[in-house]
Amino acid sequence: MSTKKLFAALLALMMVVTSLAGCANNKGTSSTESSTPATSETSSKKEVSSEAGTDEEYPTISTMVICGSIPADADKVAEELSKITREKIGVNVEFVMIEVANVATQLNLLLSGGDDTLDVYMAGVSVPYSTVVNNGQALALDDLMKPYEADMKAALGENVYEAGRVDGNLYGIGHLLDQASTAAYNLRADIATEFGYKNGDKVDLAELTELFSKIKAKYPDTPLIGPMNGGPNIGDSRIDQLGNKLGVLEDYGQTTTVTNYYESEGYKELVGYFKQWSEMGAYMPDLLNVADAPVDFIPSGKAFGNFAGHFSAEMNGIWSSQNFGTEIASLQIYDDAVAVTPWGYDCINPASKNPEKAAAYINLMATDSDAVNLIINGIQNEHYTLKDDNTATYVEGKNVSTTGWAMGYSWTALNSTLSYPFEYPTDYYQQLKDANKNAHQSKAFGCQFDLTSVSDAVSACTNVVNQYENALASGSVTDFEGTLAQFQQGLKDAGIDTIIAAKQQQLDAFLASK
Amino acid sequence: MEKTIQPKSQKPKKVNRFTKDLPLYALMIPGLLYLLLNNYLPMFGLSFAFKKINYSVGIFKSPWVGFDNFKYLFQTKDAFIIFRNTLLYNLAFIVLGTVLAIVVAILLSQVRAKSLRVYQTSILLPFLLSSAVISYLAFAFLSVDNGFINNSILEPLGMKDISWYSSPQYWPVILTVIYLWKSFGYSSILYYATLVGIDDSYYEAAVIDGASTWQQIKHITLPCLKTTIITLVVIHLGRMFYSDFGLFYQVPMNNGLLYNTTNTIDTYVYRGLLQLNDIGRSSAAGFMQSILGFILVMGANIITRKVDKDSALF
Amino acid sequence: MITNTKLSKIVPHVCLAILTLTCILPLLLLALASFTDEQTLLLNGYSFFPAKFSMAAYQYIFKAGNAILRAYSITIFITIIGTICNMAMTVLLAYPLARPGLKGRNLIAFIVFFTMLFNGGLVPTYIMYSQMFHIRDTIFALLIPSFLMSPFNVILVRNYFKTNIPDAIIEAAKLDGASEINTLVRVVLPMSTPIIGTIGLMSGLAYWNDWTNGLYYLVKRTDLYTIQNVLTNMLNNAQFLKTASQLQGVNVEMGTLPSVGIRMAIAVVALLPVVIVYPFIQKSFVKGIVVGGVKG
Repeated sequence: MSTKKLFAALLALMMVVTSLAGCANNKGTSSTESSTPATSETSSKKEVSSEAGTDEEYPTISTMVICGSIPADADKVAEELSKITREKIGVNVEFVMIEVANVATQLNLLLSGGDDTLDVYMAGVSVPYSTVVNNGQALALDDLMKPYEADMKAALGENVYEAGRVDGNLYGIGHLLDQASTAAYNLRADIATEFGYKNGDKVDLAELTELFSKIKAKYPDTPLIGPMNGGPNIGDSRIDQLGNKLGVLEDYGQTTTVTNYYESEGYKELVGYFKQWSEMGAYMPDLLNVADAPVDFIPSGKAFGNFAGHFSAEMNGIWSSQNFGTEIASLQIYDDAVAVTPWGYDCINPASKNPEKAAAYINLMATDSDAVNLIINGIQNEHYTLKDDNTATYVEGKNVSTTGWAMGYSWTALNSTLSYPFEYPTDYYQQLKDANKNAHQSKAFGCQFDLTSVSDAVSACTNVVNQYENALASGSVTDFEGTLAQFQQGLKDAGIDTIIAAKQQQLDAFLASK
Repeated sequence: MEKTIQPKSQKPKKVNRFTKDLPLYALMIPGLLYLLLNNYLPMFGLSFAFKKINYSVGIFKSPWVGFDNFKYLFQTKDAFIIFRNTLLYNLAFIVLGTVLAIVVAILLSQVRAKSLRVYQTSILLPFLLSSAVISYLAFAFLSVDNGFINNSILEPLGMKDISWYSSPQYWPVILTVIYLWKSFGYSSILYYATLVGIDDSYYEAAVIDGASTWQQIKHITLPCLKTTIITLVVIHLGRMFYSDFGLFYQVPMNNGLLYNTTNTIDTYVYRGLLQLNDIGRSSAAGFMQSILGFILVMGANIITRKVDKDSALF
Repeated sequence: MITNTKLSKIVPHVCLAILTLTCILPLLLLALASFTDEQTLLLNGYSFFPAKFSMAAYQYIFKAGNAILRAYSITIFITIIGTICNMAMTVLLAYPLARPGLKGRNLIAFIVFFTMLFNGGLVPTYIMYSQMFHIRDTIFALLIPSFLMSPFNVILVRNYFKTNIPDAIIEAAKLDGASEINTLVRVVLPMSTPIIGTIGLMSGLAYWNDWTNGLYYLVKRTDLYTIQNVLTNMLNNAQFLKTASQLQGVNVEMGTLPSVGIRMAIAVVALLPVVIVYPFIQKSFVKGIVVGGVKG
C-alpha cells in the first residue's frame, strides 16, 4: 500500500466517522426530547410539537421502567401517560427502559453522581433500598411529599408509607405489594388429586413428607422437587428475615428478639426433612445446576413439582397453572403468613432538576388508576383488552413475546392494586390486600436496618450462607448434621453475632421511637 | 547492532537526535492521548479504595477511611482459600497455557495453508463463546443423569456415575481443562505470528547441518519465541491475583458445594458485596489485586533485565 | 517453516486434527441442540443424534426481525471502523517504542504497560465519558471506551518490530531520504503482516464480542444495541428471572424466558458470522506472510 492510498483511506475513514457523529448527535438530542427509535418519525414529531408549542412548555420527568426486553411501543405508552400527566401535574413523562438483568449495573451508573438522566427510579430490584439511602443516592422526601402525604397513606396504607423511613427521614415510598408471604409446594394437579389434595390445601412438613413417600412409592422414578429461581427455593414463612436472613425474628415476627435463624429449632427441623427427602430420592438430580424452569421440567414429566413463595397458595396455584403449561395444585406449608417490610421503593434522584414534579409523579403513581394501569398493562385495546369481569388479557392474536408493551412487571409498580388484574381472578388485588392485613404483622415492619457498621461481617456471612444453605436445601450433601454444624460454625467465625447485635440495637431503637 | 551506532552520537549530535526524533514522538500522540483519557484520567477512582463513598456529598468530598475497606478480604479463614485458589489456578494457567499454545503454534507452522485455515478457524471458536454458554456446555457434559461423561463414557466402561457438581475435588482439573480449551486457539495465534516471522534461511542452514526436527525447534524456534513468551508471561503475572469471573462463577454455577476449589478473590468479593453494593470495598479489592500484580511484574522485569536486557518489557 | 522429515509431516496433522475435534464437537453439540425440539432436549439431554428437529429457537430469536438485522449491521460497522482505528493507533505508538535509542522509550513503554495493571474502575470511567465527553447514547459509546487501543497489542507489535525488523533496513530507508511515516508504511508494515493480522484479529474479536459498552453507555438509544447486547440481554434476563429468589411475587410469565434450545441458538447466531468471515481474514493473513517472507 502506498502512502497516498493510506492517507486517502484514513481521510475517507475520518469523513465517515464525522458524518456519522453528526447524525448520531442529532439523533441523540432529538431522542432525549421524545425518544422515538425511528429517526424520521422523530423529526416529524418534533416539527409538529414545536408548531403547536405545547409539549415544550412542560418539564419532563424521566422514570425508570423495568422490563424483560425493550418493548416496541415504549414511546407510545409514554406519550399516552404524558397526556394524563400534562393535565394533572403539568409534566411530560419519559421512560428510561431498563432490562431486568441490567438494573444492577445501569441503575448504579445512572446514580453515580451529578447525572440527572433519571428523576424517579425504583430501588429494590438488584439494588436494595438500604444501599441507595446509605450511598446518598436518594433524595429526602419529607418536605416534597407533604402535600400528598394524606392521599398516599390512604392509597398505600400508613404502615407501607412509613416503612421508607431511615433515621426518621423518608427517602423512598414503599411499594404496596404482597407484604405477606407463605411457603408453598407446587404439585402437578393430577398427582395431587390422585392422593387427595387440591389447590390451596394446607399441609405441614410432616404431612408433606408423608405425601412425598406415598407418591414416591407409586412413581419411584420421578423426582418431586425441581428447581425454581435457580435453587430449591424453599422458604420459611415462620420468620421475618429482616432483609437478609442474617439475624431474624422467629415466631412469625411476633417476638422482638433478633436470633440466629440457622441455629433455630425450626431450621434444624427443616434440615431433618431435607435429609429425609434426599434419602427417599425426592430431589431432582443436580438441582442447583439445572438451568430448567418449571415450565420446562413439569410438563415434560421430569419432576412433579417444586417449592414456591406467594401471599396465597391458592393464587400461586392459579398463577403457576397458567405459567407452567400444566395444571398445578399449590399446597400451603405453614399455617400462617407473615407480613414484613416492603422491599421495593420509589425514590427520587438527588440530581433531579424537578424534584417537586417528580414527587407529584410518584403521588400520581400511587393514587391514579388510569396512570397506573397504563404503566402496568399498556394502552387499552392495543396492549390489553378488558374482559367482562374487569380483568385484563392480551389483545387477540398477541402474546407475551409479540405484544408491544412490557407485560408481567406489575411487581415493579408502586401501587399495582389500582390496575386491572392481568390474567388473574378479578378479586386478585383485594385478596392481596386481605392477605397483607390478615397475616401476622412482624414487629419489625417498617424498621430499616443499616448494616454499614458490620459490612465486613455481612460480606463474610453472605459467602458462608451461599456455600451451605442451598447445598443443604437441595439435598446435595451426604452428611446433613455435619454440614449443618460446619455451617453454624462458619457463620459464627464470620461474625454473625455482631450482625445480630447491630440489628437488635436498631430494632430496639425503632420500637422505642414508635 | 544498535550498540555500534550509539557511541558515535556524541554531544553535538544530541540536540540533533531529538529534533530528528520529533516525528517519531509525533506518531505516538494519538495513542498516548487515548491512554491518558481512557486509562489515566479515570484513575482517580483508585482513591475510592480508601473512602466511604457518599454520592450526595460527592465522590471527591467523601470521607477517607484509611484501610477499612480492605479488612473484609482478610477477615475469615476463607481468605486463605481464595488467595490459594486464585494463585494456584493462575500458576497452572500460565504454565500449561503457555506450553500448549507454543506446541500448537509450532504444529500450525508445519502445515500448509489450506488445512491451516480449517485448523486455525476451529480452534479459535471456543474463545468466542460467552461464559454463560460454556457453563451450559459444561453442564451438558457433567450433569448426573443426562451428562455426556456419565452417559457415554463412564457407563459403557462399567464405571459408577460421578456426581460432578457435588465433588469439589475434580474441579481444579475441570476448570483448568475448560480454560485451556477456551483459550489455547487464541493464545497460539500470538505465538504463531512470531513463528512465521522467523527467517526461513535459519532452518535451511540447520537442515544442511543435519539438524533433526527437535533440534530445529530447540535451537531456532524456541529462542526466537523467547521475547514473546517472556512478554506474555509477565503480562499474565500482572493479572496473577485476578480471575476470570465467568469461568469461576458461572461455570460451576455458583454451587456452594464446590466453593473449596472454585472460590477465588473475584467471586468472593462479588458474592460478599452483592447485597451491600459498596463501591469502596470493591475498589479496595481491585486495588489490592493490582498492587500485588504490580509487585510481581516489577520483580519479574528486574530479573529479565538482568538475564536478558532485550527481552525486558520496559 | 521447520523443514520436515516424512514422519514429522504426519504428526502435526494428527495432533491438530485431534485438537480441532475437541473444539468442534462440543460446538456441534451446541448447534444441534439449537435445532432440537424442546421437549426432546429436556428429556434426553444433548445428543449428536436428536430424535426430533425444530426451528422454534430461531423463530424466537428472529421474531424481532429488523432489530436483529440492525444490531448485526451496527456490530459490523463498529467492528470494521474500530479495528482500523485500533490498528492505526497501535502501530503508530508501537513503532517509535521499538526504535533503539529513542529517548524515554522505556518510560513510555512503562506508561503503556501500567494501564494493564491498574484501572480506575467502571464508575469513574463512566462519569468521565458520560459527563465530560458526552458520548452516552451515541455511536461513539460503542467505539471509544476500552477498545480503541489496547496496550497489550502495543507491546506485542513493539516486540515484533524489535525482534523481526533489522535496524539496518530502517536506517537504509532513512538514508534514502524516507520520512518516518514513509519508512513505517513502506518498509516496516509489509514486513510485519503476521503481527498486523494478529492485532487486527484480536481487536476485531474484541469489538465483535463486546456487550459492555452498550450496557454502560446506551441508556436511551437502545436502537444502537449491538448483536451481542441483544443476545446477552436475552440470556441475562432469563438467568436473572430464574434466580430472582430475593423477590417475592415475581410473576413474570415464564413463557418469555428463553429455553435451553434458544440459549444455544443465541450462541450460534453470535458465532456464525465469525465462522464465515474468519477464513477470509486468515487467507489474507497467510498471503501477507508469504510477502513478508520474501522480503525478509
